[in-house]
Amino acid sequence: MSVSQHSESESNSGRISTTPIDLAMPVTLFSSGWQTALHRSPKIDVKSCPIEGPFPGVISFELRDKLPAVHRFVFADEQGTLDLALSPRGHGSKNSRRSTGRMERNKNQPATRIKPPAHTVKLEERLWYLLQPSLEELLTEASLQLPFDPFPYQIAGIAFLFPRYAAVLADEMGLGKTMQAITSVRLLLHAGQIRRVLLICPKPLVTNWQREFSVWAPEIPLNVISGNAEQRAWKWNRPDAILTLANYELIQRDHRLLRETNRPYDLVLLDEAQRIKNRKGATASAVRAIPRLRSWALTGTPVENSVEDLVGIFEFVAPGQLDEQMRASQMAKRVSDYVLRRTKDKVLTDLPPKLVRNAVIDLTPAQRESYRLVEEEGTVRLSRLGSQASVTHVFELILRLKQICNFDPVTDESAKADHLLAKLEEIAASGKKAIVFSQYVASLERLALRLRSFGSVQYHGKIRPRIREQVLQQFREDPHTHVILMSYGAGSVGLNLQVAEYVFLFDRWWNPAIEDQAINRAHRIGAAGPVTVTRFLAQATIEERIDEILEQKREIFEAIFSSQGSIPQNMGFSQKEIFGLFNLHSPQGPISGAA
Amino acid sequence: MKTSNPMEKNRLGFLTIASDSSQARLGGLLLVNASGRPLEFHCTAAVKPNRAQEILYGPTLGQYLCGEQIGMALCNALKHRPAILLTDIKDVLALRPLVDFPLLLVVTEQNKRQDFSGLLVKSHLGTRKVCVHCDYEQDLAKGKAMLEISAENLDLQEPFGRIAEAISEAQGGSRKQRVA
Repeated sequence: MSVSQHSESESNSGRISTTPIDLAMPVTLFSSGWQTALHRSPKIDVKSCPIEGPFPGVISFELRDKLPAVHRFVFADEQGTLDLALSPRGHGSKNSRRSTGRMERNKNQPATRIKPPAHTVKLEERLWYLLQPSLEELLTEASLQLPFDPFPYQIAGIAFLFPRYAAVLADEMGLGKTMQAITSVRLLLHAGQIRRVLLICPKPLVTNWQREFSVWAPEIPLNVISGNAEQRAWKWNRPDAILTLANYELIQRDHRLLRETNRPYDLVLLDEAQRIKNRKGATASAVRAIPRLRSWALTGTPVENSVEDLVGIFEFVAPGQLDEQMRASQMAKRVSDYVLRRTKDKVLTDLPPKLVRNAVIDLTPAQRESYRLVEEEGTVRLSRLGSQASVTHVFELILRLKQICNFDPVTDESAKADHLLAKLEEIAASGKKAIVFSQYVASLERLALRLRSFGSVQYHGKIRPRIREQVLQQFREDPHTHVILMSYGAGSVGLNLQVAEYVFLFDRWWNPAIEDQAINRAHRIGAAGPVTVTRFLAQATIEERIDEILEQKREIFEAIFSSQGSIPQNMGFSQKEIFGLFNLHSPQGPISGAA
Repeated sequence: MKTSNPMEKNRLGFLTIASDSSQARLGGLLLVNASGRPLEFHCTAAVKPNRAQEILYGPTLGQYLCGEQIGMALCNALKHRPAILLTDIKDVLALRPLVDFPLLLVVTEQNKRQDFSGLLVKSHLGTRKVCVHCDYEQDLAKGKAMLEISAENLDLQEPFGRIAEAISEAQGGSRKQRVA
């Protein structure tokens, strides 16, 4: 056995050294449990634990999505049928609204957008209208020069017509329905939406429409139907005709030719559409039979006598929309999307005023005596007839009495003519012009003899159509022609006679709408100044009684298209009212001759 | 999309994006001729980002949705190539690297308060201010060459109003058709 001894000195110096010393002790080796244990396997329990758990959940996001779905609408890029390259035109009017040709666009004013009508259901079509530029933008195009800048309400009227397949433009007379219709047609032609148009108007207005087209759309060639049957057949079948212009009489006469055409018109436009108010009439039937895609009607008097007039117009415009059994409220709702009506007092605040006054005239003694005799005799005769009396009998009496109120058949005296003469002297002296309306051509001819010194001209059924335009031109342009004598029938519609500042209603028509139409020949856009309307009324005669009823009807007429107003059943004179003029009771049974 | 048509020089595209009541985005693209009349109109279904997209795209979400998604889908739908595309939505400019025609941002009454600095180059076109992405500054020159005659009279803002109305009409129409 040995042990190690440390040397201190070395230890102090940081070094350690050992010296083995033999102890010389006996060593005996023997086995013990402790040493044996060293050679056995250690008694340790081993437990294995997996240290990897399940993989963590992963959420993947597809950041690059599929592109969103797209609704596609591709519109036909139609080229219009017209040559768009127009040269600037010169116009000689002195009207202050006349533009330089290209419409001025005031960007501060709200633009007028075309809205698809409720009856357009196809989405693509609705979008096409919605996506059109504003009308002001369209009208500033160089190819769409206008001689005048339209009024805002006229732009609104064009926006109304443009998208409609069925429309009634029922503006009050004088607001420019013609211009609105022509410009709408023009826009549709330029957009390639229509290629063939048929315009139907009363015969006296054919030249008026030709003139208006030359002003508002000179690039549109007109195919005016006229001549003998052979010539007309050729014109009806012209394949290159863009705008065909015909009068109602010819439509009726040539209805077979029109019906047999295998190409429908893109648009049929009726002027003075009240002409088809009688649904059973030959004219209405002929017009309704024309194959067409669009149906537009222009009228200042959509309800002239009764609501049946409107039903008649709608049989052409939108068949099946109206029937006469409908309640007024139901009817108003049905027409609301089809009809646009504006009145001057609402939209034309800067139009010169219209002054209407009644001139109550005392008949001359000779007239009074003739009147008394005829009235007594006629009343007695009607009373004797009793239940056999018809409207025709009453009309005969009224006719005679009204004619006496104009001129005495015996002496030719006329209190009205004397009054008119005095007024015209003043008018002529100041260089102004006047229109005189009468129901009777005979009265107009008598007046013409008395008014020669005023350079009077006549415009009525006896004036040949070919010289009517010359008559109008003379009245407009000749400074020595101060008066034009017109019948209600020939001169109440469609004519523009703004040069006249005075209108005389020598006798009264049966219907206030017709009287308004007559007055509005002068009181319309372009009127130089206030228009004075004088309605002659022979005192204590049938004219006063008629006037009372007319006034009541005029009030009702104004309410027709208001939402609150009820639609009157009759605008003309009813059977009861006609008999009531002579304090007679209406007989039973139907009356054939309506007023 | 057809290209190289001689008439294409007259075609203008207008692209805008509207929001519906659920804050989903609806894109509309109107292609017009030189007179402003509509030739094509395309509109997308409503696009609404999910929460993950909102988090992960962060501030670039608008560019992604307006440019890469809606803008691209609308341009793919075009039958004819526009000579120039105008938008009133700044984020739509992210579409520019994906198309080969000039893309201009029109400064309007609605977007004029936005910050157009940084990546955008601003200029005048007629009476309107327009912007382009600074990487595509040449678009300005192309736009000016194309619109210099008409821009005086052409209201570059007005067609966006038409598109908004048409989107609304198309959405209503689609709903009606679904109900039917």
